[in-house]
Amino acid sequence: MKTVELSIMVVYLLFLIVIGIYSQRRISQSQTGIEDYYVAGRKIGTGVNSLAMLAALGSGGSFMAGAGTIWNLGFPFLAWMCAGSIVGFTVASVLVAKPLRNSQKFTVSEFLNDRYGGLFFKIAVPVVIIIGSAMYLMSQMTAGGLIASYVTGLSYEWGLVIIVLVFIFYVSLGGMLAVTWTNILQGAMMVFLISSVVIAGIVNLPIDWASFFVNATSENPALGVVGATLPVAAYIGAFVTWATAVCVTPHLVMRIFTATNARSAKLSLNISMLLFGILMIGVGLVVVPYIPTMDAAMLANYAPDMWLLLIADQFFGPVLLGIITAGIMAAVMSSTDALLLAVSSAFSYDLYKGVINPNASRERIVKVSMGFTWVVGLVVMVLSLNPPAFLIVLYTAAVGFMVSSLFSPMVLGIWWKRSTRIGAIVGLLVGSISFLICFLFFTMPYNSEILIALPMSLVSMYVVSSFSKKPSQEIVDKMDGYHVDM
Amino acid sequence: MGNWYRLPKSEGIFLSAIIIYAVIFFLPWSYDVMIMNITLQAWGAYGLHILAPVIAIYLIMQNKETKVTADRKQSLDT
Repeated sequence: MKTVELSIMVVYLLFLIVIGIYSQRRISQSQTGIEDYYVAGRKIGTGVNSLAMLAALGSGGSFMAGAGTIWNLGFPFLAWMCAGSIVGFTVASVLVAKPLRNSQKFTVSEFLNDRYGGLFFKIAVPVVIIIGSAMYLMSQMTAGGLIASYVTGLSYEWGLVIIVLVFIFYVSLGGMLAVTWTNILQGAMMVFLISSVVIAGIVNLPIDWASFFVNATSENPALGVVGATLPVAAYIGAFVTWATAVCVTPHLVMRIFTATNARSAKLSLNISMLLFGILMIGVGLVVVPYIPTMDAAMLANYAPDMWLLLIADQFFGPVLLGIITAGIMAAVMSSTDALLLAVSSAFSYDLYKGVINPNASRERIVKVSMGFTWVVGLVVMVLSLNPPAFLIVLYTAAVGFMVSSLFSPMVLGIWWKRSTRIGAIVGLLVGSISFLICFLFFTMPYNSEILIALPMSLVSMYVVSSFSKKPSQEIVDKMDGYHVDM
Repeated sequence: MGNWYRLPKSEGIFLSAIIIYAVIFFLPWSYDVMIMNITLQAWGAYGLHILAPVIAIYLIMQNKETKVTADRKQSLDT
């Protein structure tokens, strides 16, 4: 057991619990409880929201696993996957940030219901979100269990249980207010964590950087070669998935709803991605070349996701390493808690209030949300106890599935006045079903299903909308209002 | 075109530029150009890490300055 690192982790986890309790008290005293619970009162400023967005995107898959993934899958793949995330935030800032923020809605589902109406979207959108986000959540919980096990020396299973209970506790109590406050802390920790490792990597360079970097590519000749590990279609698929994902992925879109205004939301999206881009370039160019200098037997003993920590272990003493471990945990937890909240709001706000009990009081909705957070958190935790071997495929497929289903109804619904309900239903069904058919029944390059499903969804929605009855003037007027500068 | 909301011109050009940039680097010409044993295709992606958010931030800031200038001009006219 690593006592110092563990102590710092425990302090950090206790701090998160305190934030959850404090947020819960504030929400219970607030007159606008639901606004506080789901969108943090819409009072989050630009700088703070940038850190929270960075935390929501920066996860176990990027900051923690970045170095190991580059080593195993090559620079071209991860560079384009991260470029997709960065461009995705920029695309979202242009295509959806202003109308979504101006709509004064709480969730993706609520926005789509507002645009199209009818029972189909009230049920289908939350179901897509719950399935997609739960698969995404599983990969993050697995990463959390790995770190907790590394620090405590306990088994992976116990590490997972401890970590999951902590964040279910504070998310269920404090909602978005707690998630935002912890995300701010977590975002700051991530910047500190990656900057520290990169700076330490530069300071400890054994030879000049260029030679050190080239040595790494000699040790692993596939590192910089196109198509050496995955076909180019997989790069394009990963890029397109993430470039379109931010427009519809609920735990990222929810941050737009928390902004003080549309301009602040757009600025936050791009500032967070500038930080993310700089940090990921640092990981790629400075940290990755250290991998071949590590003991091969030690690398083999740990999952590639943990290699960043092993490299950091070379540079720092236990106190700083404890803070860095807490930072990596922050990266995992920040995505997990935001996802957990997105899933619970899809159920309690969209399905429960929207369909099952439309007259539910705000106290009742918040209680249902808390309860569902526990249910979904525990169910996904149990599934993560024996994570499937194809977890990475599943997690990227989860995002691809949500994009294929929701991108056309969302983006065409915002920009094309002629988008109709029946067109959007067809777009959603064609996107989701064609994605599932490609994923389940065809052997395609990793992550390339979206290259078929998304165009099919866009075209089918366009064609059906063109031939169906125009939306009412009332809906068009409402959308006009969402495009006005406020 | 009456059925479509119009993107601000600068944002439309920006989105198009991102798509063209990605297409150019995904074409095979860049695969075998190696810099420090890493394909130019990957360096192109790293370029996008910085260029996309920096240009977007510039455009958002520029938009505010344009609006402030327009507001001042309007108040002087009235």
